[in-house]
Amino acid sequence: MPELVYGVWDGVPYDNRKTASPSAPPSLQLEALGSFDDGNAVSVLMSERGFLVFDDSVALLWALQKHFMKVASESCGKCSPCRTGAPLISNLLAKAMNNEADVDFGLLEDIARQMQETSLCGVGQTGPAPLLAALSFFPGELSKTPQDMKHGFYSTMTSPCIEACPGLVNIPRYIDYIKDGHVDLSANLVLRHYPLVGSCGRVCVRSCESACRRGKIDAPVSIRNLKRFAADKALASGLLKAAAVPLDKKEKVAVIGAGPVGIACAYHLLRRGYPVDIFEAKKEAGGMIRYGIPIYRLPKDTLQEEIAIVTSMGGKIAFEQKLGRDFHVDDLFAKGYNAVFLAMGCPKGSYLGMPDEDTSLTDYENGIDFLERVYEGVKAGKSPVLEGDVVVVGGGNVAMDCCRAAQRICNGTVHVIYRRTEEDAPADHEEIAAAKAEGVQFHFLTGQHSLLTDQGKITGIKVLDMERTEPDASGRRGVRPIEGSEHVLPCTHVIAAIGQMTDKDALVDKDQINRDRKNCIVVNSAQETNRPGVFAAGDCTSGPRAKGPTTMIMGMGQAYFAARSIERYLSHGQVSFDSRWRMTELIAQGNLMQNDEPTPKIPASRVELKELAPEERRHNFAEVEQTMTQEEAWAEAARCMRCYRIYSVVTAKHIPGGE
Amino acid sequence: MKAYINKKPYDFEEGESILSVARRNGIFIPSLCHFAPLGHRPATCRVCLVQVTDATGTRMVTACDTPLSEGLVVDTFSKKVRDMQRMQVEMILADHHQDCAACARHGNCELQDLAEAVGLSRNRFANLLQKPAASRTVDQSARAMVRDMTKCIRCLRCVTVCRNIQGVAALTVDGKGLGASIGVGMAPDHHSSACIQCGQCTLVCPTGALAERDENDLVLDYLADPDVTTVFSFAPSVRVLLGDEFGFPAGTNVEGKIVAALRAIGADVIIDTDFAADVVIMEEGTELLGRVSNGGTLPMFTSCCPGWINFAEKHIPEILPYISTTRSPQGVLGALAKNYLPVQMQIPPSRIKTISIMPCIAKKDEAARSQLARNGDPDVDVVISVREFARLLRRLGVDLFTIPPEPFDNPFMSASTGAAVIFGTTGGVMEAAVRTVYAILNGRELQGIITAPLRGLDGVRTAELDLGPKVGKVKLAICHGLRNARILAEEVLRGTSPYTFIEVMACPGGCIDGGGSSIVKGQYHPERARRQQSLYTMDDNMVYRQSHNNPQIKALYNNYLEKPNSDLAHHLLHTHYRDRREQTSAGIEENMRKITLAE
Repeated sequence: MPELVYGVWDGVPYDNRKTASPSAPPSLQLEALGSFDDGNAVSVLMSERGFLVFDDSVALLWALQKHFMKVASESCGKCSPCRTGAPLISNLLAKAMNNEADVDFGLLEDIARQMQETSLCGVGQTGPAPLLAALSFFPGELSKTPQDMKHGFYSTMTSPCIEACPGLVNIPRYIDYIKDGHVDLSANLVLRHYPLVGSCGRVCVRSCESACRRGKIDAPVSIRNLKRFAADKALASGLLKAAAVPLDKKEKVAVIGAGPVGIACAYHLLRRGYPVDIFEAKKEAGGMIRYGIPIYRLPKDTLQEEIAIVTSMGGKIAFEQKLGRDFHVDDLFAKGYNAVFLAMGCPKGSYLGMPDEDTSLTDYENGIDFLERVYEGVKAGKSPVLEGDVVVVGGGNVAMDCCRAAQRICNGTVHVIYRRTEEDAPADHEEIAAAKAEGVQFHFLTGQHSLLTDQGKITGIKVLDMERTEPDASGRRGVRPIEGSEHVLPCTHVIAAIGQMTDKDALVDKDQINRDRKNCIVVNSAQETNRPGVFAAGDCTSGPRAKGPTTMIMGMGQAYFAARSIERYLSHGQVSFDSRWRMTELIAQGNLMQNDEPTPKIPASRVELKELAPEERRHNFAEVEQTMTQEEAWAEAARCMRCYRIYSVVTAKHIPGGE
Repeated sequence: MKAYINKKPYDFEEGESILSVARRNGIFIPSLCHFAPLGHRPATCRVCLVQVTDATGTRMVTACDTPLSEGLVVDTFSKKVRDMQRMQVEMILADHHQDCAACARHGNCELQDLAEAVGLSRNRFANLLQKPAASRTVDQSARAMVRDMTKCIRCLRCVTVCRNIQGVAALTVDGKGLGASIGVGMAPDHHSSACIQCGQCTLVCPTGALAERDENDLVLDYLADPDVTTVFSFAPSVRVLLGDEFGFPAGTNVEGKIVAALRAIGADVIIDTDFAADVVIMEEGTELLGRVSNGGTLPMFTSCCPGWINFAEKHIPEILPYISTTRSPQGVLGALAKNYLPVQMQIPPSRIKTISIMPCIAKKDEAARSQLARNGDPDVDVVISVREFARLLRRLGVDLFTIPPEPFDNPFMSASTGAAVIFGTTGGVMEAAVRTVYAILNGRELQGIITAPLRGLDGVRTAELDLGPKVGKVKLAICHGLRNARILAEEVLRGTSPYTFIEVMACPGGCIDGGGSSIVKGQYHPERARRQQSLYTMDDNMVYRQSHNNPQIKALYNNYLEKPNSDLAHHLLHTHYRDRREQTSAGIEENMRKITLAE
């Protein structure tokens, strides 16, 4: 564990230099701060909560000046105290470092306090914290001028919403660009992270909105819908155009799977000039978001336009080329690919596993197959028709997609049974509300028991009532069946929407790629597999970011880091350290980010999208949610409070990719 | 609900800001970016600082965007509050152009007022900034205005007026840090941007960052040149606007004083844009009747307003065939001043320089249109706004307040009518047109003057009028503020517009609140009603109420043009428009470089 020498955290000073009983901030997980990159000790940490010095040989003045250069470079310039204050402080600190005599530390403190107490957003409000802490408690340290510093330095500006996003998308910045009138740059900013901007803007699970501090005042900023607005205004309108990029790198990459993860990884590699060939098992690209997400949530022309970004850049997609059937990993290396990225996803739906269940029954489907069948039908202009009542089993987003799709093509009633409570359902609760509005009947705390059939036709499903168990030690409540509660829900069709699995035939032993017991590829935080040159991400992987089937944004976030790893592997022969990702780990593991209450603001209501009325949705797959108007987007964007914070580390040695 | 400001209790409603409750109760809190008339509250200047105390402690907040809460204790006056307000203004000024004396807004600047309000006594920071304000953009490309970002204090009022009032949204926030300022979107410069140069932003800018291009020196050059015959004219609304600049109550008609002032500064010929407005009614009214009887493109939109024409050309060019081809009064005046007037007055046309005084800055851009020039010689040589004209008179030592009024004396182009004078307000062109169109159609005057429902200040007003047996009932619409114009134009393009004739004025209120009118600091169009009423009173008191009864108009057609829409009239007095919509697009990769954020 690193030993704190001195510092200030949450306004409390610590000085262990002259004490026999050293102390440290109790809320901090100090053991997480031991090293930044491998074997490179953290010497100083600076954040919105103060600063911590672990190595007394570092001149605090130098560290603070570096930190303030970052603050000044990220100041947006809209509010007066930060726009002027940050560069003023930066300059005064630089003068102090040069031993200039006339540096007025009193003035420096006044400016820093002005900035902290009166700035509009997190940059100015939190950026001066370590400087003010030092001026208050350790002013003597600032008179020590640095000698020939050989330390490493890395700094990043982030926010609760950014840290909540698996793709680390700079959300406040793209919202600002909308507010500023640069919808093109807003979309462009998201395009730094992935090409499927409008698709993600429609279907993302938006962890960011759960983290949004505006929620503590009135309601979270409608982040996802703002992203969709930017995509609709800039990408769908043709304001932003994809063009061929110079593919000047010699090394080629094979990407397996043209789902969002494969597409995203290919896109990043193409941006960096690597030729990429994508091998897709199906006839069309898009993977689970083409086949699994119904058209009323994600129109496929939106998806197609965004996939076309990758092909316009020079990426090539070979269709109906399936790993394990048409080729193996060895074949790719033999063909001259220098790296392989595996993103086959989890294309197989799970059945319920009830006693004696017969999965060959035509009216007993898993959700994945059902949604694909509906997609193919709607695309061909003859959507399937479900006669009679339908029961969907499950409480996740796939179950919601299934029941809402079924509701559109069924002439009976659609039921959802889920063994836990509505609150426990992992589905987006707006999806549950939408399904209810469309007429889907929900049966929570209801478990499946067995299928009832007559001459190969389903006649119903036997279900049983569940009850909640008492909270366990962790406070979590389970469910258990209520004895004797079995009853029959008559129906003609049952859809199992409880999960999905990898394709067991894709990878074989001779591919020499380690998998876990669920057949998911084992990866590290760089998205490397055990086999050199083979990287993987998304639903088919199990790693520190996610295990098994996950969200689209998680997969695309992994793809972003995978592409960085592949680039480093191809250019340097090895995957090096990623400072930005490490900072996210540090923030999470060290419990660094302050969870403070925002200061009161005049409430402003969240913009809700206009929707087709439930009766307009029957028997069609027209997109339900309509994009915001320009006026709504400006108003919604203005609700963002830009809860930025800047984290800086000084390390003993140079940081790969740092300064 | 109750809270305490400076130890006294005040009632408030849930969600009310500290600033609005303080202002309601006469408690002064200095502020800059806040612009109450437009509900604009970006909270960027951070000047309206107050200290609040509640159960969680004491902190500094900005009064504009912090709600009062039950029992909150607010201090607007402590030493800490005053010191921090003062340092804020010191920081703003450090990042502002340092040469006040050279600014058009010197003496009429909200930042100067603010410096006084906070007791600013020193300027410690300007020299410490490595990237001084002077390094920011000064964009001179637009004909009508200058975008001088060295003076921008990032209040964003211009962005709000451009979006919320005009629906133009040409202005954007560009750059970051000390380089942050107001830009023009994806366009390379102001001129080629989506900006229509209406100048409403110049009315709300607290400093001189967005201002008219001052062309007084060109006017002075013409006045000083013995080979030039200067022909001055001024728009209908100018006579109820200029007085504000010289201490008259708002809306005072100073027509005679303007004529006297122009004579005093040496104008050779003084004619009246009112006369040209009457010509416009003759031409546009006849054009409208032609379209109605020949199955032409309807509804017909008015064409007087250059902000509207720029908007149509740049934002909704599909509407151009619906716009009257009749030139604006300024365009008509210029053509007649360089063709008709020389014949009548026996002046060589080449000596004539036409100088137009306008409530508008877009008229500067209009005058520069190639369609309004002959052989490269513009019909109108220079346009100055009311603000510039006031400055010109001050430069030449003419005090409008004391100068005795004098009448027009030009026998060819200075007679006016009530119809012409109301061109200065929203609804006026429509009202004037109705008077003449009715008379042409029916061979007799409309009984009485139809006012309601054409008059008023609602953003969109509609009416149904019976034009007599030949045409019957027609539906008319009047709108002002381009956001409203877009709604009516889109209705036309959808094919669902019930109207025959639509009047558009880009500026809310019409020319009486034009982008070239006087700036009233911190307010938006405060004198609209008085200015409008003044025009209506002038109309009431006119000998002639209808354009076709103007004796000089009769002479113009009898002696020169023959009849409205004659070949000569078409040649001189009509124009055409072109699609100037910018088809912007950018490559994803090239746009990546514009992102101002570390990756």
